[in-house]
Amino acid sequence: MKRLRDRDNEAITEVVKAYTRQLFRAALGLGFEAPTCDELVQRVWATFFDVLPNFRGQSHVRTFLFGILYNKASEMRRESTKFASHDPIEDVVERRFGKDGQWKEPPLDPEKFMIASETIGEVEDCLSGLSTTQRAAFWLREVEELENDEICNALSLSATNLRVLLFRARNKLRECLEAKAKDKPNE
Amino acid sequence: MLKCNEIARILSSGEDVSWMKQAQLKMHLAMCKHCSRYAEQLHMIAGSARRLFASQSEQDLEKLEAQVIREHSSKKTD
Repeated sequence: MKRLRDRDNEAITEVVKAYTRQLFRAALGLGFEAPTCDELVQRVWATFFDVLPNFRGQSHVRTFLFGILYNKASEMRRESTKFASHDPIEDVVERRFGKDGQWKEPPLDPEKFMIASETIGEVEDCLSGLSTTQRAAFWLREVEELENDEICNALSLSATNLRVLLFRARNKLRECLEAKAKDKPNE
Repeated sequence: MLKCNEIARILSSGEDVSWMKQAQLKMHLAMCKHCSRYAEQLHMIAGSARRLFASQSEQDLEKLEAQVIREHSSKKTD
């Protein structure tokens, strides 16, 4: 950290090499096209080096970088990072269960479900139905495999809100992929 | 006992549960076809997301890295 603040070239090279790929992948995960991801990642680094003198190192560099990326991404989409108290997916999930808490509309057979979940285009399409915050939470958890604490820090979320976001993200993807799988004729 | 809708909520939100509930959850999944399907689907979704962007071009990424390094290291010493 000290070396970075002193703008030691070697330290800069090291940190850029360590995180650029992850940032780029996360930008793709947030649904940006490759050229936009390039731009986004460059902006993240610019901000990082700008605010570095004030960085006290309370959080991991990675957490800090993901936090910047997420803010830039929301800014670019002009999406609010405010936590929404309700999402329609909650009603969709609720309708799948009866009053007794049992499945009324059970999930599709995984073998059929796979037809959609293994198709890249379908997965991308379903991901695009998520808000930036939902995507970020889902991505950091499932792909980058960060611990919940770190995700909460990066996205400035409470643990409860993170759980709600993951619930929404996973169920939205599941419902969307299931609908697509049902539409496909069995080959 | 946990009901199916509670199982679905725990699985999809990643809620921390007590060891007691954890045991109940496992038992429920072993007996309930629908919930175990649900769990399997969530697993498949995570796997698909991981595979989605595995194929990004190395060359382009190296170019991006080099550009960032150039931009931020030139500012200092000289």
